[in-house]
Amino acid sequence: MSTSKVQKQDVLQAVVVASFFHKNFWPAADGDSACLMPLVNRPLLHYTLDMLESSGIVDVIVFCSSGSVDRIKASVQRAAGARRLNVVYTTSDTCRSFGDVLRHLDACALIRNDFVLLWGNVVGQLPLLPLVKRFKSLRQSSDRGAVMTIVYQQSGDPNTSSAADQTIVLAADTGRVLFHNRARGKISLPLELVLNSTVNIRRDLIDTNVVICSTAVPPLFADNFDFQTKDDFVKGLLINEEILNSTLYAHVVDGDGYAGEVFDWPSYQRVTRDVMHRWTYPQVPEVVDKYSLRYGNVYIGENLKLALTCNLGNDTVVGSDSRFGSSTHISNTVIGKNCTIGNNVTIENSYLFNGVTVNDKSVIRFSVVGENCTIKENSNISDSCILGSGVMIEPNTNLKLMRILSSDLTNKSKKLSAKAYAYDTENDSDSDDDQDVRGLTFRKRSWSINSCSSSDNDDTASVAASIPDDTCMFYSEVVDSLIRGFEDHVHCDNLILEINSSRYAYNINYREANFQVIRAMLTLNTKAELEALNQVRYYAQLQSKLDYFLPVLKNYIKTMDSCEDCLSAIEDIAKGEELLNTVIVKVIHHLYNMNILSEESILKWHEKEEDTQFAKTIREKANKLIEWLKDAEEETDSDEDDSS
Amino acid sequence: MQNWLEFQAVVMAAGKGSRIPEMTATKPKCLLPVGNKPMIYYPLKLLENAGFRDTKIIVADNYASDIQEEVDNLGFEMNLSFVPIPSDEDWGTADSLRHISDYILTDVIILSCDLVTDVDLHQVLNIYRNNNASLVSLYFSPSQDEQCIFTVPGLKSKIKFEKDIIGYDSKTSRLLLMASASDYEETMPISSSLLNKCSNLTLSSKLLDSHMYIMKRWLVNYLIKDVNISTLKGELLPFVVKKQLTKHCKKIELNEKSVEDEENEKPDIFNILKESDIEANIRSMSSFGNLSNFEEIIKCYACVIDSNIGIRANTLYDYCRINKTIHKLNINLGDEKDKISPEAEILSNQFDKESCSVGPNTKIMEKTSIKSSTIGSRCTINSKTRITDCILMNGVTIEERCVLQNCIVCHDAVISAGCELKDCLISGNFKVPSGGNLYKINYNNNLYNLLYITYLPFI
Repeated sequence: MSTSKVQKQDVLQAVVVASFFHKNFWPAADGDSACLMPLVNRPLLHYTLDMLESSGIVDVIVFCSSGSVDRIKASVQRAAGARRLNVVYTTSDTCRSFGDVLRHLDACALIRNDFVLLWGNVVGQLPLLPLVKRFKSLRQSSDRGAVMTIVYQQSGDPNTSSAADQTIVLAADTGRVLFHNRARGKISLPLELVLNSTVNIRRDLIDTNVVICSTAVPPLFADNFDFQTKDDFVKGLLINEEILNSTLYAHVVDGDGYAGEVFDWPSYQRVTRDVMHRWTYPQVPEVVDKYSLRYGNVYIGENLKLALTCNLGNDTVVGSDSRFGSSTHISNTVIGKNCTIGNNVTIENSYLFNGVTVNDKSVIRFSVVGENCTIKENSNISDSCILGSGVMIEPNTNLKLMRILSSDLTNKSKKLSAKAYAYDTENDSDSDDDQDVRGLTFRKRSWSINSCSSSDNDDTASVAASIPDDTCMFYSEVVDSLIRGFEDHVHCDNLILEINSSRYAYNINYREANFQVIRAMLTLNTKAELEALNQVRYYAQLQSKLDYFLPVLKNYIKTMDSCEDCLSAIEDIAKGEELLNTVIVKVIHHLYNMNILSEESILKWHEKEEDTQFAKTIREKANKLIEWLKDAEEETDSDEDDSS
Repeated sequence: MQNWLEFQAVVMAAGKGSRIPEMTATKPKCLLPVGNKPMIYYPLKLLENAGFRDTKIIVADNYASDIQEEVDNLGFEMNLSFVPIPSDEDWGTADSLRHISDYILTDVIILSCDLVTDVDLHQVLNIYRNNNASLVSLYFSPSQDEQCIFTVPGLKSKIKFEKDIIGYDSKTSRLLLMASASDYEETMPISSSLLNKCSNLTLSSKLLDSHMYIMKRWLVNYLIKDVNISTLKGELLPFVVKKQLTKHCKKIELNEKSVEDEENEKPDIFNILKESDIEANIRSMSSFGNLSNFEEIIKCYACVIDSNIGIRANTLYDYCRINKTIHKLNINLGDEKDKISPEAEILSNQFDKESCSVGPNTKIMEKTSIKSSTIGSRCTINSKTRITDCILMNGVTIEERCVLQNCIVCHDAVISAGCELKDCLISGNFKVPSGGNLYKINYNNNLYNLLYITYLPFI
């Protein structure tokens, strides 16, 4: 009896949070059961539990919401690795965030010793025991205040992957976390940090959502009830380091393992690719399940019926009991079990869950198709469409950038057919929280500003090339500020401050600044977005952006001179940007209505003699507006005459 | 003939030693002894060991003959040519380099005369070669174990040294940021363009800049064009390092007219750097390096060395430190006879051969005890004296019954009989009056200061 007690003290515990408090995967999965969502035809939670099992952990506490506990229990029992684990479930209905879970753990007093805390979405292979050992010795020898080691995965090329969107500053010798910032822009480091020790500023780290905690962590969450997420915790600890007397450390996984978390669709894509490329070995399809591996990372399940002319390209997983028609092309795709794919179907870069039926001549690109969906003939589903389970798509449907449900839950969705309701994410302004839900990455994100470095795009490059260095830098910083400002709803006053500080930093004079700010405001869309937009949508978006930035505009465009700068900036951008060119008069009119541009300035601009063909055509286009302006002017003049 | 050379070497020895004015009032910094050799011996030896055959030495014109005479005595095999620069004008290192730019035909390696290190120069040169760098700068990381604690002789210096902040890519050791801590107040902004370029940036304020640079010839061309730059470290380097981040617009013919008027004020560095056709070809065909590095022509690298010892003897502390550790260093100091000159007359019975070095024509009398000290040439040490942890420069006379501990005695100074000095710094030609009672306890810093002021006019 006593020996088992001693052992119990030493047994390393792991806490798996199997309930995500976000709806990133909606409608393919909701927050409670997202950890059961298949990744390469296997529930996410199975990967997590297998990782714990193989790294030698026995005691696992799984937290889940009471609604999903039965489903999770049933699923875990099917997992091979879980048989050797001692799994304890704990549930709570009041938990609304990660912080609540930790407070719940504190209240339940389930934690006996240092423990591993991770989400039920971690895929990979990590030697956890040495990490815990190192953490313990760190606490014993050098830093008693160490409460957490955060495990990061080093990303390959940070410029191409959008995953590493945080800036972390570590002490070079100890790996202590000194500074953490979620933004991608520039950072301001306290000078003290740099002078005290040599620091590494890392942009190439991806969260793995695996942390090693001391027993002090749950009480810290309990004491600070405003800690909702892990980021809150990190931030709070770094700011109140002296008060809380707690320090954080980082461990970077590089070569000695792999871990990736699946928290949204881009990371889902990334981790799926890594699993297929065998980074997670031994957690690869043919080891954990009955697959056979063929050349080019093609994994083929059992009992398949493949037509002779069916072509499976690289990086493809095909689940068991599926059937494929002739002349069907499939590449970079995961197809679940019991799927039926017809003839002449093309599926690329997509994820089809179990039991999906795709009829003849359909095309699926960069999309997720939930369980038991049916896609009828001649449909085209592309560009980050997410289909919930049980959706039925009628023949000859064309879908892009949509989230589709099988039933109308919210009454806000548009009915496409009896079993398909589209939920437009673009205009979804009143969703419960304003965090943006990212879809699949279906094109390389490249801000149009980046093209000034590459020479492949000739017209923009030439515009950028004529600008002196500092101005170019100023412009790109303004674009950064504005994009972030718009996405994160930063208050415009702060944006003005930011732009002004950039202006001083690069020594830009007023008029140049006016010019560049307007230019930046008109070029916020990415090239990819622009291609997807038509004229009307483009103008609507531009208008909403201009409305949002109204205080910024008001700040910069005040005088006659600045109006002139503003107009010439619009003209400058319109020269290179076809879409803006078509709506330029509307834009000017809108700015006039917003009291940004004065009548005189527009008239003056219009009267100015220009030699180039482009300038002339623009002024011709504006003729109507000018006439209207003149009329209005006369009217007001006459009004004034009358009143006087 | 000279075009066959890969590098040309320049040693900057015109520094005034403004951080150690007590010692450099009457003697050039580069001739201050370090372990029985003038300081300039070490950078020259470094170059000679690396196989350099020609070296230019920049000296201040008022000391040119002194330095030439003394350096010639050191017996270097390579050709040394001395270039005097006016000492009354405040020339920086960049000015000096511009001055000799006509002689510089190849890439150039620049050393400071106060650099004492046992680093292998080829290690640094290889970084330059491997990366096809525009500029390589050598840094020493501070050695923790070597942190010797001792009292610095002389007045407590109140000069606060500027802390430099160096930022380099942790993997490639590409030098990306040079700044001084005094540029910032409380926070240090780091631009997004820097962070985008380098995802794993190491920032350090502890590195010691060796002032050794290897640079491409076109940087000298740039120096000729931009006459406003006066120092290498303070102006040229930060400028070039910063320019790495700027995007270089290739279409020069496009912006010719718009930049024309600016050109007169500040020459565009990108117009000056000339890439040969073959280099451009190599760059475009190479699959080496990732795409973001593809377009870059300016590439600065930091060579951070932590295994070797490197000291710049430009402060009193560092000067003392190098003198205390020089014997432990693995620097080729020459033969044993160089350490303790056969021409010296040593009659002492308590003379520690291991920890001392003695110059020629020095006389050490009987009944003296000398430990871990450096003694220059033409010194006379009379009997019944005890000297520990001291540096005696050339021509010092120490009379009878003196006790010197942890002192620096500059050239031709005289310590009169019966003095007891501890932690003192005696300037050149200074005569410490006899009568030990004044200094019996500690040769107080303030007292020393007083003496310095009162006695100097009488000499």
